[in-house]
Amino acid sequence: MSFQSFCSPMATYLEFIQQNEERDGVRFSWNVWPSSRLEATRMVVPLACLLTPLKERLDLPPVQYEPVLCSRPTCKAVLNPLCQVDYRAKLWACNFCFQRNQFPPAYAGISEVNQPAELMPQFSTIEYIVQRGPQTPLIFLYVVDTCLEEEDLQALKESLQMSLSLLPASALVGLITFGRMVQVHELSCEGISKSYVFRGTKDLTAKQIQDMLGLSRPAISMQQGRPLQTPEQPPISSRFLQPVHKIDMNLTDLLGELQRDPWPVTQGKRPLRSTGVALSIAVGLLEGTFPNTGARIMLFTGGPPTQGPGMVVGDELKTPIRSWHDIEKDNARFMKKATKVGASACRVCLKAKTEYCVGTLHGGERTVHKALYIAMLTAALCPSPVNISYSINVGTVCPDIRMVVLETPSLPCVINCENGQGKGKRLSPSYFSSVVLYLLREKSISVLFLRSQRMTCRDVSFVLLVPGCFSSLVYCFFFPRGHMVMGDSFNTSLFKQTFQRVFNKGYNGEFRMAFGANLDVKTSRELKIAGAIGPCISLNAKGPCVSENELGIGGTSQWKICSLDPSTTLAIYFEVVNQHNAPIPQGSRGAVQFVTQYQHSSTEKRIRVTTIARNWADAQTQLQHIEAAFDQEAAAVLMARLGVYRAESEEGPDVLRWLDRQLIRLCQKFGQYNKDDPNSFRLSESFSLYPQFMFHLRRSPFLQVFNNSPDESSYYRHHFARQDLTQSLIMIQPILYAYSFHGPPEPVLLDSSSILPDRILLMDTFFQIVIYLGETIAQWQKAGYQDMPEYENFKHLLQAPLDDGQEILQTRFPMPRYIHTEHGGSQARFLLSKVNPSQTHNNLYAWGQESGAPILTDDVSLQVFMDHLKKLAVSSAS
Amino acid sequence: MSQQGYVAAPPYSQSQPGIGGFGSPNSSLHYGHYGDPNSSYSAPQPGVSKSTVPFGSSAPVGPPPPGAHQFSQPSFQNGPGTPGQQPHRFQGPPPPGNTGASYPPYSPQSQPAFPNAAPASSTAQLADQLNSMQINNYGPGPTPSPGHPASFQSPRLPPPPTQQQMVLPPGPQVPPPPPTSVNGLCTQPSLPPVARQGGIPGPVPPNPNLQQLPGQPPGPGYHPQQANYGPQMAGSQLSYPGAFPGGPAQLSGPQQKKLDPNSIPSPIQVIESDKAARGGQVYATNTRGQVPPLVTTDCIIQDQGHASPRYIRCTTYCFPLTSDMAKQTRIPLAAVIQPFANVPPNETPLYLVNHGETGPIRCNRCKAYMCPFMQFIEGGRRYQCGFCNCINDVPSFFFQHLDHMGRRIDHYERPELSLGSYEYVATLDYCRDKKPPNPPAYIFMIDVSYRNIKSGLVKLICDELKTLLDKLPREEQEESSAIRVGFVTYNKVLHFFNVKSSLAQPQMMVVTDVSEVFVPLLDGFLVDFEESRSVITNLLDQIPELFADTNESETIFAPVIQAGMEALKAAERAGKLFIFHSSLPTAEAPGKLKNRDDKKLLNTDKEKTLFQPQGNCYEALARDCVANGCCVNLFLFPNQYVDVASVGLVTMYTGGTLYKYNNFQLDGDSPQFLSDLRRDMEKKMGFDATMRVRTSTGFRATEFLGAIYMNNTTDVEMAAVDCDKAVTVEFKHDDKLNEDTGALIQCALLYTTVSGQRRIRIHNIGLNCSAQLADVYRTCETDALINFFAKSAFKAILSQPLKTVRDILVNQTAHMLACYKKNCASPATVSQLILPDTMKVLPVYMNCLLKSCVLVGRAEIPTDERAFHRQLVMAMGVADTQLFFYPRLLPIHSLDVKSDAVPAAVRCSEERLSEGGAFLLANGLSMFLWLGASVSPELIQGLFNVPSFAHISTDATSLPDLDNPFSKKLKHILEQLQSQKPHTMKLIIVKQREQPEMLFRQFLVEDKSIYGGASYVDFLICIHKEISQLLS
Repeated sequence: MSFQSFCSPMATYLEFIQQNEERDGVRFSWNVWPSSRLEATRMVVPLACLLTPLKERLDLPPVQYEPVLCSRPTCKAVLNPLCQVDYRAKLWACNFCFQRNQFPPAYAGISEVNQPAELMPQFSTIEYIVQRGPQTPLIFLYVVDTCLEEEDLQALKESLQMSLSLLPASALVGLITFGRMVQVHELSCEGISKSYVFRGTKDLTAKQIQDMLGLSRPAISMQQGRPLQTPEQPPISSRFLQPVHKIDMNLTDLLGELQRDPWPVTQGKRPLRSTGVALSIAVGLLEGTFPNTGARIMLFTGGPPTQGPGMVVGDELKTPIRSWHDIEKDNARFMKKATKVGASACRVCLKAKTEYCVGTLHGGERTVHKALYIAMLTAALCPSPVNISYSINVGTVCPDIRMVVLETPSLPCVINCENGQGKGKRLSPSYFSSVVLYLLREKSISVLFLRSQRMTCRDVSFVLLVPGCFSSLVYCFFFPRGHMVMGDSFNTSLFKQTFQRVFNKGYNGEFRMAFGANLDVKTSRELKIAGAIGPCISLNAKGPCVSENELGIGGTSQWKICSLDPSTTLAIYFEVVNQHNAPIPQGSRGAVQFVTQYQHSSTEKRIRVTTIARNWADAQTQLQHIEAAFDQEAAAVLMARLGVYRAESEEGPDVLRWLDRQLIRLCQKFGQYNKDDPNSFRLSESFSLYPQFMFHLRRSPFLQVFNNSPDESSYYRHHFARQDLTQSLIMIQPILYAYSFHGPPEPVLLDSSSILPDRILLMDTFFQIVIYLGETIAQWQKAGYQDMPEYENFKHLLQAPLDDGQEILQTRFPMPRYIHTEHGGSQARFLLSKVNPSQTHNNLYAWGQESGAPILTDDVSLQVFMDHLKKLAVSSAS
Repeated sequence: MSQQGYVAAPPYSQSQPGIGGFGSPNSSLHYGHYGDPNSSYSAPQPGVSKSTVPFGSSAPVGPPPPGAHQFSQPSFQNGPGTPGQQPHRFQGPPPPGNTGASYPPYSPQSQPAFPNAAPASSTAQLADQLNSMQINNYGPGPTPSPGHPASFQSPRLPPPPTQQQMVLPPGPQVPPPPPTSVNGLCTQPSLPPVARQGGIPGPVPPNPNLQQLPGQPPGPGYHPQQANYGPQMAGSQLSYPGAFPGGPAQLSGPQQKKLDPNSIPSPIQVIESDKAARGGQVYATNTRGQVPPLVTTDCIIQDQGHASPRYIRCTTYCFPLTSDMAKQTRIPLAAVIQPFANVPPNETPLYLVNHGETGPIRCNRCKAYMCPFMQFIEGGRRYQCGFCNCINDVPSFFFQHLDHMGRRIDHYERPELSLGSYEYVATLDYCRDKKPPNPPAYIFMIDVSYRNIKSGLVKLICDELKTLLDKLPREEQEESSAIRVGFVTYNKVLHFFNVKSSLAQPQMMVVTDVSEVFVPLLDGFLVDFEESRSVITNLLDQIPELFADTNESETIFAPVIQAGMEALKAAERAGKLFIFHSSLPTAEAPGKLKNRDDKKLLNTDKEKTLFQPQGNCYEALARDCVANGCCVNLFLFPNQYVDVASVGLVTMYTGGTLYKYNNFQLDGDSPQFLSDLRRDMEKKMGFDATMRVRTSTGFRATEFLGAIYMNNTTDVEMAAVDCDKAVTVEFKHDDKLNEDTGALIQCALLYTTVSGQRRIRIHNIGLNCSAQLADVYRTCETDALINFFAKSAFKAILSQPLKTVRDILVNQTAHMLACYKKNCASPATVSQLILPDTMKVLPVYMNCLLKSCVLVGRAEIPTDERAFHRQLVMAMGVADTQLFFYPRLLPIHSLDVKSDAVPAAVRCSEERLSEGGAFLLANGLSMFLWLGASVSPELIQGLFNVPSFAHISTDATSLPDLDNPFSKKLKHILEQLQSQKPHTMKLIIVKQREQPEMLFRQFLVEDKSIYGGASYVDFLICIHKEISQLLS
C-alpha cells in the first residue's frame, strides 16, 4: 500500500497521511518508524497515533458476519489484508503472532479471485455486524438539577421535552431530578405521579439503592441470551426506564410539572444541590436494571454540588468556591472529599486518584474568579467490574448576570458587566457599584474581584475583595467520556442547540453516537503499547504487547470508551521495543490493529477493525526518511495531550518546562545549525510549524489556568482530550480569517499585526467564534453605511464573516460561544488574548508603526520565543 | 387446688341460673340466689380449708386460731358443718356443690392472707407513700389477724348510711363485735341475725340473704384469684401486698353476709344529693378555699377571682398548715389542672389581655403574672406579689389609682385583676427563636398495608377526610382555618404527597430510606386545604386505588412519626399527626418491635416491664417531638398485640390522644371511629405548650402527672394540649403556711393557638390553710383524690411491682381515714368505721381503682388493653376519672318520657339489676345496654322494632332510629352521655344470661370482679380492719 512512500517526496507524504486518515482514521506522529528502541527514544516525539475509531465512512458498508480470529489465545487478532494466505491449504498466518490458522468452514470457497472483503487491501478498515447476546435498547437517563432560576428551568424543561422527540422510539428513558433531595421518577404510573426520594447527603451503596428502589436482582438475566421481545412480565426496570414511544406523553407531562427545588434558600446561602448522590443513584439504577449494558446518563446541572458526596463548596455564599489558587495551596476544603467521591460515588475508576486539576497561576499571586460560569460535568462512569459502562452527558448552565473582570497581567483591569445575552457594556463607577450591590443583595451572588492599579473606576475601592464568587466548580474528570457543554444559561441557544446536536443524525440517518465501546489494540512484536489518552478508561488487559512504560492510561491493551461518536479521537502511544542489535530486515513493516467493539445506535453490536502497517527504517542511516515522514500536526496534538495529561497531576510550570525541553531536544535533533550560532538554525519543512504550535499551546487555556476558573479549565481540557486532530489544532492555534476590501477573505497570522482598522476578523478557537470589527469598520458601521444602497459592498463585507461564522456554528459540537465585537469592545479580549502579541505596549511606540494593535501584556511574542528556542537549540551547553 | 377450683367452677355460668332470681325485684330473692353459691362453698370447703390452712400456716397461725376462736366456727361451718350450719347462714337453697369446691379454699386462705397483710403493710411501705402507719393488730397478735376481718365484718354490717361525718358508725348498732376484734368473728356466726338487727337500724331486712349475697358474687370471681394468691400471701406473711387481692376476698366470704349494701355509703346518693343541693345554680368563685360542687353536678360557674373548677380542681381546698400535719393526714395535696377545659356556652369564655409590645406584667422575682392575688400599695404605684411577696413597680402605662378599699379603680375592667382565668397575648420573647409562630399543621398518616386496604379502612378514612377537612378548627372571627394539612401514607416505606394547588395531579414521593427518614419536600406538602381542595380531593380519591393490589403486610412506625416531626420542623410549625395504624411494626427500621406479650410475667416483679416501652427509640422520639411541637394522635386498629406501651408512648408524651378499635369491623365500628376522628379534628387546642405552676411561699409543686413531658423539674412541656387533657400536680410543703394569706396557685400555660397566635393562659386559684385537721377533711374532694391516686399509681407501676402499688393505695386510704377517726371523730366510736363526709365514697372509688384492669393482672385481659387504659387515665381530668372508675348505670325501663332529665343512676351492682329491666351503663370508653331476660316486649319493640327479646341482635352497635318518644328519649340520653367525653363510646347490647354479659359485669364495680377484685363491702371491711389496726 505504501511502498512508494519510502522514496516518495514530501508532497506524497502529505497525501499519504491524508489518505490514511481518510481511510482508517489514524494519524501517526511518525509514518516511518525507527527500528530500534534507542533510536526511537532519541526521536523525542514518541511513536504514537491519533485514532478516530468511528470515523464516518460513506464507502464502508458493514459486513454481516463474524470476524475471523487468530486462534492463539493471547493474540486473537482479526484476519486482515496484511495476513499471508495459503488459498490452497485454506490457511492464513497471523501477521502479529505468526500463528497459522485454518479458515473456518464458511471460507471453504475462497481463492485468489474470490477473496472475502477483509482480505482486500482497501478494507484495511472494515466493520462487522455481529449477532452476539441479546440486543438491548438504547438507554438515556436524564439527571436534572432543579435548583435553577424559574426561567432557566423552564427552558431546560422545554429542551428536555423536545429531546424526547429526537430519541429513537424504542430507546429507554428514565428521569432523575435532584436538588436538596434526589428523586427517581417512576414512569409507568397512571394518575398520581410517583417518585422515589433519596436524601441528598447520604452516600449509598449500589445494593442499598437497588433495595430502596425495589429492584431485586432480575432472575431472568441477560446472559441467557434470550432476545428481549419474549413476552415476559415487564421487567422491574419498567417502572423507571420506559421506551420513549410508550411514555412520551407521560414524561412530557412529568417534565412539565417539574418544579424548582421546593426547599427555601435563605439569603446568603446557595441552594443545596446533591449532584453526587444523584449520579450515584443513576448508576445504581442502571446497574440494577441493565447490568453490562451501555447507557447514557445525561446530567443537567446549574451549579456546584453543595452537599453530600461530591460537594465542592458549602452552602454558605461567603465561602467562595475554590479557585486554582486554593487548589494549589491545598486550601480547597472539600476537594479531597470531592475527588474521592468522584471516584467512589460515581464509581469512576481512574488512575489519578487525588488531584485531577492542579495548575499554577501565572505570576503566582493573582487569581481572578470569573463570576457565573458553570460547568457541565461530564463524567463517564464506569463501575470497576469493567464490563459496565455508562457515559454521562451534561448540560450545565447557570444563568445570571455575568460580571467579568478581565485582567491582563500588570495592566489595567477592565471591569465589565454583562447580562446573560452577552451584550457588553462599560460601567460607570456608580453603576458598577450598584450592580455589585444588586448582585450581593438580590441574587445572593458574591463576586471576587482583584484590584488592579489602573482601574477604570478608581473610586470603587472595595473592588479589592468584594466577597464571593458565583462560579460553580464541578470537577470534571480529565477523562470524561461524555459530552460537556458549558454555558451561562439553559435559556441560551448555546445550550439548546448543543443539546439538540447530541441527537444529531449522521448521513445515514443514524445517531452519531455509540455505546459501551471497547477498544483493543494489537501490535506486531517490535512494538508495545504504552498507553492512551482520551475519553477512555483502562480495562486492565495485560498482554504481551503491553509496555511497562506508561504514557497516559497505560498498562493495558484494552480500553473502555463509554460514549463514542464519529469524531471521538484517542491518542495511543507506542514504544518500539526492538533492540538495536537485532535489526529488522529491510522493507519489513510493523503493524498495528485496532479492534473496536461497540453498540451501534441501531442497537446492533458492531466490530470495527483497522489494521495499519508502516515501514521500519534505521534512524542512523535513514534519518531523512523518518524525518520526512514526520506528521507535525499529529505530533503537536499528541504532545499537547501528553502535556495536558501531565497538567492534571503536576504543577503547571513543570509541564511547561517539560514541553519546552521536549521542543528544544527535538530542534536539536532535527534542526540544522552550527553550534552556538542561532542564526544558522533551520528546520526542515516537515517540522517547520511544530515550534509555533508549541508556542500557542503554552498560551492555551489547557495549560494556563490564569484567568480561568477550574471549571473552565476542566471544560477546555475535556474537549481537548476527545476531539479529532483538526479540531484539536484549532484549539491549540485558533484560526484567524480577515475580511477586507483589499481582497477575498484570507486566513491571516494569529498575530496582533493582523488586527487592522479596516479589517473584519473572524477567529475560531473552537470554543468561541469571535467576529471583530476593526476600528474603521466599526465606525463605518456606526455611521450606518451598510444601510445605504451605495455602500452595499460594505454591507456584504459585514455579512461575509457572519455567514462563515454561522457555518461553523452549524457544524460544531459543542456549539461554540458566538461573540460579535469590535475594536475597543470589552469582548475584544477574546481575540486579544489569543493573538501572538507581536506588538505590545512595550515595543509599540518603539516601532512607531501604525500597523496592528498593541496588546497589553507581558507575554512573550512568538518572535521572542523563537529566538530563545534557537539560542537554546544551538547552544552547546545543553 | 386453686387452679382447679377456678377452672372447675365456671363462676359465671354457674351463677347464672341463680341470677334468674334477680328477676324478682325483691332483694331477698337475689340473696336467695347467692345463697346457692354460698352453700356450694361450704360443702367443699372442708377439704380445701384443710389444705389451705397448712399453707397459710405462715400466717397460719392465724387461720387455725381464728377458726378456733372466732372464725373457726364459720369456717368450720362452711367446711365440715356445712349441712348443719349452712341453713343458718345461707338461708338460700344449697344448690349444686360444684363451685363450692373452689370456694371453700378461699375463705380459709383469705383469712390467713389478710392478717398478714395488715402487719405487713407497716413494713413494706414504699417511697412516696407514708410508711409510718404501722399499727398493731388490736386483737391478739398472730391469731387476731384472721379474726380481724371477721370482727370488722360484723361491725360493718350495720353501717347504715349515716348522714355526714359518721358514715359507718356501726358502733352503737353493732357494738358486740367491737369489743374484741377477734371476737367479732365469733359473734358473727352465732349472732348474725342478732347483730344485724341490733346493729343495723332499718334497712337490714334481708340480712340473711344479704350475707350470702355478697359472699357469693365474690366467691365465683374471687376464687381463682385467691387460689393464686393464697400461697404467695402465705409466704409473705407480713407484707401487706398480698393482702389486697386476697384480703377482701377472704373477708367477703364471711363478712359480707352481714353487711347490707344499702347501708354502706352510696356514691349515687352522694352524687344525687349534691346535684339536688347545688345543681343548676350559679357557683361564684369569689371565696378562697371554697369547695366547688361535684364534677357530676351541673351548675353555672362564674369566675370571680379564682379559676373555675373546670380548669382547676384540688384534692382539698384547705391545706394543712404544716408539713407535719400533712404527713399526719396523708391526704395528697394536689390540683388537677385542665387548662383547656371546655366551658359550656352559658359561661363566659376567657378574656384576652393585650399589653402590646410590653407583654404581660410579671413579678420581677418569681415571674408570676399579674393576677388578683397581687396587692397594690403606695397609692397604686407599686404592687406586692402574692406569691413571693416581692414589691414591684407598676409600669406607668398600667398605673391606676386605688379606691378607699385599697383596690384599683379599674379592678373590674381588667380581667387580670378580677378574674381567676384569662389570657395574655404573648410577645416575641415568648416565641421560638423570637419569631412569630406559623399556624399549626395537621398531617394525616395512613397505614396502607394489606390489612387496612382489605378491611376498607383506608377508603373510609379518605372518604371521611374529604368532608372533615372543612371543619378544621379556626378562630371564631376567621372565615377559614389557618391550619395547613399534609398527607402521608406508609407501609414498609413512606409515601409523601405533593398537593400544591398549582398541580393538576398530586405527586407521590416515596421515601424508602426508613433507617434515617427525612422529608422529601416542603413546598407543596403542607398546604392550605381551601387552596388545594381539588388536588387533595383527587388524592383522597386515588389513595385507596393506588394501593388496591398491595400485598405489603409489614409496617414501620417510628419512622412515620419521625417523618411527620421532621416535616413540621422543616416547616417551622407546631402541629398534630393523625396516624392510622393497625399492626405491630415489624419491618426492619428503627422502632421495630417484637411481640413480647408474656402472660407469665403477670403478678411478678417483672410485670411492670409490660408497661414500659421496648428499647429507648420511642422515648428519644417523644423527646424530639415535644421539642418540635409535634403532637401525635394515634388511631390503632389492632387485631392482635401491637404493643401499645411502646407505640403509644409518643402519643402520651406529646399530649396526643390514643384511640383503639380492637378487631375493627367496617360495619360495626366505623361510626365510633369516625365520630372520634371528627371530634379530635375539631377539638380546640393549643400547640407547642409549656406550662408552669407557681405557688405562694411555703409550698411548691413537686410532681406532675399527665400526658406531658418534663425536661426539668418545673416546666411541663406539651407538644399540644386539648380540652380533655388534664395535668395533676402534687404539692409539698416547704415551710409553714400562713393562714391569712392561704395557699395560692398560678398556672401559666404558654401556647400557640390554631391560628398561630402565641398566648399565655393563666389560671389562678387560692386555697385556705388551717391548723385544724377537721378543716382539711371538710374540704376534701374525693373525685380529685381518686384522679390523683389513679395517676400516681399508674405512674408507679412503671417502676414498682403492682402488688406494692396496690398495697400502698390501700394503706394510704386507711391512713387518711384513720387519721380522721383519730383526730376528728368523737372518741366513742372506737370500733366503728367512721368516714369523713367528704370522703364517704372514697373507699368505693378506691376499690374501683384497685380493681381496674391496669392494676390487676389477669391472663384474660390483653396487655394492650391495660396499657391503653393506663395511658388514657394518665391524661384524664376529674370528671373522666370519676366516670371511668365508677360507671354510670341508668335504669331505662322506667324512663319518664316526658321529662327532660336523665334518670337517676343506680349503684353499679348486680343486685340493682332486674330481670324485667333494661339498663344503660357508660364509663367513658364503652357503653352497654343490658336487657333483662324478661324485659317487657313493648320496650323491646319501642327500642329495637323487633317483637321479642329473642329477636334482638346483639351485633348492632347502635339503636335504630325509631319514631317513638321512648326511643327518642333514649337516644337523647345517649347523646348526653356522650357529650364532652373524649372517646366515643361504642354501644354494646347485652342480653341477660348471654355470653357478653361477662364483659358487662366487669363494670358492676361494687360487686366482686370476675377478674379478682373485692366487692365494695369486702373492701370496706378490709379498710375498717386496717384502720382499726392503725389506731389500736
